[in-house]
Amino acid sequence: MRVAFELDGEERTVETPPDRSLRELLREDCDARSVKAGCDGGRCGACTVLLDGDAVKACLVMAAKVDGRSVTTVEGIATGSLGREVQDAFEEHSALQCGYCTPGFVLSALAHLDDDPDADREALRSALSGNVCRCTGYEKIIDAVAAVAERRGDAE
Amino acid sequence: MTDGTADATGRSEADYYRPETVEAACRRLRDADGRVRIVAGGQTLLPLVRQGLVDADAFVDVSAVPGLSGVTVEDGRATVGATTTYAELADHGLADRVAALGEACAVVADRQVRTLGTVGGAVAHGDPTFDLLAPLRALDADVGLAGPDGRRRVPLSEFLIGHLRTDRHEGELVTDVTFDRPDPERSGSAYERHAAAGSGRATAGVAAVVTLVDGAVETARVACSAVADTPVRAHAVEGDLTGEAASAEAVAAASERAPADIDPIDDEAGSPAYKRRLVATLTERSLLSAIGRAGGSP
Repeated sequence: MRVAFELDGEERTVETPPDRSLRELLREDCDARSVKAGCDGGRCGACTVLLDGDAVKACLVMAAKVDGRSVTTVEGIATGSLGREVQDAFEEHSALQCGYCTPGFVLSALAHLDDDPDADREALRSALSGNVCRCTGYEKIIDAVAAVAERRGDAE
Repeated sequence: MTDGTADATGRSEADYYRPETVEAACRRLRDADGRVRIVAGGQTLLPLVRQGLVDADAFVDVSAVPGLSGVTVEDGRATVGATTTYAELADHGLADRVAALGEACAVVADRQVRTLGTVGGAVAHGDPTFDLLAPLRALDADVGLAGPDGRRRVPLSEFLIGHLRTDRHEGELVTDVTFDRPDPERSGSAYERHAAAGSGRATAGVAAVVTLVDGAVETARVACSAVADTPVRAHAVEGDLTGEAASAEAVAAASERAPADIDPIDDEAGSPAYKRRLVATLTERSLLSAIGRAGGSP
């Protein structure tokens, strides 16, 4: 079937079997290499993208479902102020080592901060529980996102 | 398609339908060629398809059918549309008023899955480890179905007939679940669960819905997830507690009876003996929390 959608602000039309995963569609047909392939079974969160602004696991989304919708990868948030802020915070707090899980974490954090701008650490732990990191032990990731939430909270 | 995975070149692909009404969806379910699968959020379905555990020649995506989504409460009866997502239910006032629903929604998988996963999907898949089924059983929910022979309603207790087995007939679609909202003045509810990993499946979960009158338990409904081939009611606990003072002692004594109604399996999550102990503890916690919310002081 043919699916037409917006990927990081650019219109795309792709021919795909409907029951392919969005993860495969993005990496293999759209060359969106920031969308990482991890477990491909919904457990690790490395393939997290924003679907109409909400964080979802691309390996759990049928390709057919993306028709008419908008997909944002970590490449597409560099220009937004919150997206930039979250990415800078990961760098400042050394919240990444190998970096494989980082695009997924950044997008999950962004989606949560959109809903809950001054989230506390407990809320952030819950919001990020669908993303797995094998390097950092999570503390620095929570530190980074919590720092953004504190700044946003103070600014309000 | 030879090994159950989709052909990446798109040469042989399943049909994909996006009907706009319940009637059109039912016609597709009836008329589509071969094995038809209903898609809502797809959070359970897609991994099964990708692993070759589920075959499909056609998909009927009901996620955009108007009227299948949303939560309403009318004359004390709550209706949750089948394509309502966990995130939507959790955000609705009903999930605050009926705390067991909110607490169950909050622990399902993770944020990403709750964004797309649906209430109807949880009911229709019939997996007894799905957290939301325990509160729905404790609330005496029933299931709405639409199909070639029209619409019908079935109690959830009869709809869930075994592990991944339901009473959904061929060509039928789950449209909603409904239940009486417990009296907000003197009822309370809670869901307590344990999982080995943060966003993992429940090893066991217990939902309690309690109504008090003059400091005593008028009704207690307790349902357990993941410890039998369907979510089961703890009838022994319910019977022991009914009419008793809503005290910590009475709850502790009644909770010890929870293992009488469950049939846990031995798996990587734990032994049957461990799960029986766990269910007694979770029963006590959920009952104490529910009684507190009902205005009691156990």
